[in-house]
Amino acid sequence: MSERQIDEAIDEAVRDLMNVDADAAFRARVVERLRKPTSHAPLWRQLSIVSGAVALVVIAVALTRSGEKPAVEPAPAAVTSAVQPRPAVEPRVAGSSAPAATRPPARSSAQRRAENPTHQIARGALAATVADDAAGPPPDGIEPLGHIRPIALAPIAPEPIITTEIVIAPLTLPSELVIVPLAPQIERE
Amino acid sequence: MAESTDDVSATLTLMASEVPVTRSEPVVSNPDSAIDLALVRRAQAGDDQAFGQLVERNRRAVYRAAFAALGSAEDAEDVAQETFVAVYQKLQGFRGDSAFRTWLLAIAWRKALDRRRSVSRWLRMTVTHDRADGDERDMVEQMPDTSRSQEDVLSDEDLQRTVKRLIGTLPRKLRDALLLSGSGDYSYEQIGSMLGIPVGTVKWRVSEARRLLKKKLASVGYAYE
Repeated sequence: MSERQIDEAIDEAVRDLMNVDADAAFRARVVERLRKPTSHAPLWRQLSIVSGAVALVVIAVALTRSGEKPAVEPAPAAVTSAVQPRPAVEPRVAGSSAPAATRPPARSSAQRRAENPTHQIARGALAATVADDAAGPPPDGIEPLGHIRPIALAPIAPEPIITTEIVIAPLTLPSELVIVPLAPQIERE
Repeated sequence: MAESTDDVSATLTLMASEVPVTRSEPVVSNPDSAIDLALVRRAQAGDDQAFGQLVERNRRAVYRAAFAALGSAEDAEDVAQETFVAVYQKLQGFRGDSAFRTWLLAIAWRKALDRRRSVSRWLRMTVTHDRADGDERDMVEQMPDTSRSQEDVLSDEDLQRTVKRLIGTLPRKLRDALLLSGSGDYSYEQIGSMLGIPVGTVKWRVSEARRLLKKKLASVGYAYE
């Protein structure tokens, strides 16, 4: 067998392999597909569209919720004005002989808010702005908002710290130690 | 193209001459390219019939390119349809800097490669190849050895079958170049544009594919003197 025969065989095999064509209805199928192109969108594109839509919904919900928060919360300015400062040291266990705790007590989030004037003013100002915006011609059947009186809270009466007198007594010395020699071991029979 | 007869060309040239040219047209030396370009301009102006003629004129080239990449008539048909749908949607952006067919074939090849890399197809082809491997093993076992007579070896039918089978075992890059060039539908420039490689590399791949094929043929008893 010559190289030319091999070359011809390769050429013929390739031609035969590639001797394919779409049928006569191909054009009609393309036209049909052009009428409904969306159904053949790739999977990754469909997934990206869906995930994008979900992300938009999540962002919209987050923005809506964060926008509602200041209007819902009560203005803390009036409440905090009546709050009295607590005693710095509180007894751990009433009536016990243990010394009083030197560590400051744990504060609640409400206390921390009350002690933070910047936070307090910002929230109060926002609440006031919202109230001002709401003031206007009252809708039918709804009475206009009146003056909000500050809530008066009775001062907290801290209980006095009761401690028993601490007495330091001298240590009692132990009795004299006596060292006794060990008994000799008895031999076994 | 083989299907573009003189009558069709004359009709299309006449139709193309009726298209008002409103933009700077590139210089087109190939008559087929000129006809394609005229049809493109009409399609861009909203003439769906012109687009249909573009499909008809280029369907074989697109289908064969897809078939060369995928080796499956079903996948090739699907990719060819996808290609024309994509071309229809992108047609307004075609400025004519390159020949329409070159542009079309580049899109077809990209889509065929996307399909070739798709997971679902890979799974399907893996199952098919498992069977094919078995067939090939049987076929190779039935191959004539060098001790057979020349009359036995020189059976054209057997040789053709063997060559086709061995083409399937070539590395993809070499096989693509060999099939595209051997089909007779594409110039080396078009193949280079499709594969994204220089013409010289296309020629080297074709030559390398043939060299490998001959080596494989020799190993199964079809050595040449």
